[in-house]
Amino acid sequence: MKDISVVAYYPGCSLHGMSRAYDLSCKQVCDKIGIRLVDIPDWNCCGATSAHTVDRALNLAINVRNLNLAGKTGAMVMAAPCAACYSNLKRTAVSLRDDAVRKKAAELLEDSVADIEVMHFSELFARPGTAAKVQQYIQRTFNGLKMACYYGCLTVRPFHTVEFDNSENPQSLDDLLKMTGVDCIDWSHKTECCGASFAACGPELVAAKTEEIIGQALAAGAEAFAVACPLCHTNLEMSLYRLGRLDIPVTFFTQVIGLAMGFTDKEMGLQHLLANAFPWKEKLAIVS
Amino acid sequence: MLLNPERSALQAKLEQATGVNVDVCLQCGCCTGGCTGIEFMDFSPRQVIQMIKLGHRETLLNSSAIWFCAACHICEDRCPAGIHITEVMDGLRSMAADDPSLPENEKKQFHRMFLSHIKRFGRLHEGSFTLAYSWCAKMPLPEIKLMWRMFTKGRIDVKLPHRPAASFKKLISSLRERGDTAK
Repeated sequence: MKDISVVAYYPGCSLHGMSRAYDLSCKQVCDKIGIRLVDIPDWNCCGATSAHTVDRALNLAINVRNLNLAGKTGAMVMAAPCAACYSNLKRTAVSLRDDAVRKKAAELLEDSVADIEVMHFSELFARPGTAAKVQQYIQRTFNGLKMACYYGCLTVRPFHTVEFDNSENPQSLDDLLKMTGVDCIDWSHKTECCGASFAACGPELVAAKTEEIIGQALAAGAEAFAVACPLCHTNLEMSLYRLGRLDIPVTFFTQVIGLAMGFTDKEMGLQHLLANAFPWKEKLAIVS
Repeated sequence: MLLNPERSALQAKLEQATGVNVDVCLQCGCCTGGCTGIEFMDFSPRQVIQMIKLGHRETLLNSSAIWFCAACHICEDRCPAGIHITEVMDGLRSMAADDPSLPENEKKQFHRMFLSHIKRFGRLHEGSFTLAYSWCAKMPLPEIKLMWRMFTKGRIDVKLPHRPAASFKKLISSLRERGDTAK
């Protein structure tokens, strides 16, 4: 296992815009448990869905550039909080195991290609060593709060590339949130796709998918969501707004962990959520 | 149904571009069973694979199937034959995007505008891109009340777009010179 005391941090574009609460909470929680996140100078967009969809060479070039910049920070591991960024970086890193792809990448980059392990933040926190640290810093736990852990698609799929957790019934987020006392419900739509960037170019698809996901979570008794991707977050929130159900908060899993560690609602960016009713005051109790 | 063992020109071209061999498809339909965009597709992923083998290039490049694939990888994850179906879909979409004789659609336009934004600024500037795309593609924006609420929650990036370093600009211009990406 590679050393994760220093991790190259790839925030991705959304964490500077729609999902700054995720950025805040990832940084604070990592700081608390002793993971030093180093910035990657001039990182570029991962290409999201568009680059791999219609421009293969561009996809390889921009992702290899990110891997290289991350490698130059000296860290052994690079972590991304966004599922789409993670997927693009990880798939590129895996494709570089093929010598022909590696050669092509080096040509595009005019530089040697760095070897760095790519992780999503859920994997970073679910590592046995890190999870033990998280447990150690839990100061208060939630009482009687039913949450649906929504993994979405690219944090867990495809398994041949992700090589972590389980792509049909993943448990990494559930296990982490159970440490904070959250009652994580079992439900069927954990890894359904929310439609991601179709929010802009195919909103009918996103509406159909998110309504199904929300409906299933509510039917299973969820009072709130915990997600691990800015696209899932925005799409679920927008859909809840349209459904008139802003009583159901959509949080980032790192926010829930942070609150249990004793951070305030402001420090965890709860004020940025569209539904600002996460019952952290009513349901958090000091661990005796 | 028996298929001609000779590969269609389309299958050969896709295999060359993506390295994925669809010969091993057993037509089980696991891909279709989990598909995210299936309700909006004219052909299921299982049918798409079969049509590649049969060489139905025009039909596939004009289909809604390739553009309603959300690239969620569920088909690929469940495929018992281990076919990287998302990459096959990417291959078809790239072909369709590169063929100027095919009609425009809002998804193609989205990807093109997104990539030209990225090539210019290095990163996505959500606000300006969303406005520009909605305007050009005549797609609806979220209602004003919701956008205002997002703004007051500090969710809209009001900073100017990122200015990428020289190394990024050089990478993009060398890709353009080689003809690897659009001008």
